Amino acid sequence: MTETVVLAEQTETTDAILPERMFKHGRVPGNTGIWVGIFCVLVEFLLLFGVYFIAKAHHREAFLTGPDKLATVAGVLITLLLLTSGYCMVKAVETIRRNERRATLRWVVLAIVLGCGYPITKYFEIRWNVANGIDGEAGIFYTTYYYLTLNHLVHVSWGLLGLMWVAVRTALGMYSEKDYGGLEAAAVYWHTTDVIWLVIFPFFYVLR
Amino acid sequence: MKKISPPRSQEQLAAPHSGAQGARGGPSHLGHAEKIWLLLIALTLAAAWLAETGKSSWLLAFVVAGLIAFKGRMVIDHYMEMTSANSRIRRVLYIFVSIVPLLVLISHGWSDVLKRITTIN
Repeated sequence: MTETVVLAEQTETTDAILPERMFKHGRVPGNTGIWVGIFCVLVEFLLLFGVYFIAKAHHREAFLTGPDKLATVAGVLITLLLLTSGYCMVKAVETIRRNERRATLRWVVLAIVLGCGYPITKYFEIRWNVANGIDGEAGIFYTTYYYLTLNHLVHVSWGLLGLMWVAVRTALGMYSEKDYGGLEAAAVYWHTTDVIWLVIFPFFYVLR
Repeated sequence: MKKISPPRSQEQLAAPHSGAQGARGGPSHLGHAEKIWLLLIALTLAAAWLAETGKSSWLLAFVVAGLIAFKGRMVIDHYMEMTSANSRIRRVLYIFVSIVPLLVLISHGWSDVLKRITTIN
């Protein structure tokens, strides 16, 4: 009720009323800036998924047999690493809300260590692929696979850089139970890369 | 006048899924985040089994579509805490994890239609 009154009174500039409008629809985790980035990433990947579905419709046979040659264990390991790293960021946000800064730092560092397992796994997966004749010219299924998974890897790398920045700021005591928007913003971006991978994984390793 | 839900208190945010007791003071059983993590891990391992044994079928398409939607919702609701966050942001994320499973089913069942409408003559 009070908030609505405040909203109605704030009509001077768009900038002035924007935070209240956002508040009207609920809490914004992290900050509004990160959500602009996240929505751009979601749109980008929806377009890439469109490429996947169109390629699949035109080359049914290649997509039926393609997953058989990929190393499922690599895809599963990446999923486990991302989900566990995401869990660590859930704990990091939980602990900073209780102002347990040392625990927060430990969770963020653990999230980074597990997250770094992704590019390492990807490196060995690609080496294994190439050794088995699966390169970018091995066929439409594998071209699409490299196109989407490497694109996702780029986004995960940005997320890792963000987590490293957050770890430094946490170590310097720059977050508290009252001010942890930056940490939460990095966490929600990191979880977004999880959500996208949860789509990519079945596309290339499970679906026929 | 539309009712506005107040933001959650600092205490509620500190223990988002632990009830009044809070995350620290609770009993030693698994917390909410741990249960969600275990569920996601179990579903991933089930998907791994499917990857090794699954053949192209409506059943596989439905299971994969369901897994994408369910796991996506789990991460959005429990990792990102969207159930108590901005409704507009939540809606966009829900749409994302609903559209993709729908496309999986369309792609499986109506592949020829998709091929026809995306062919440039």
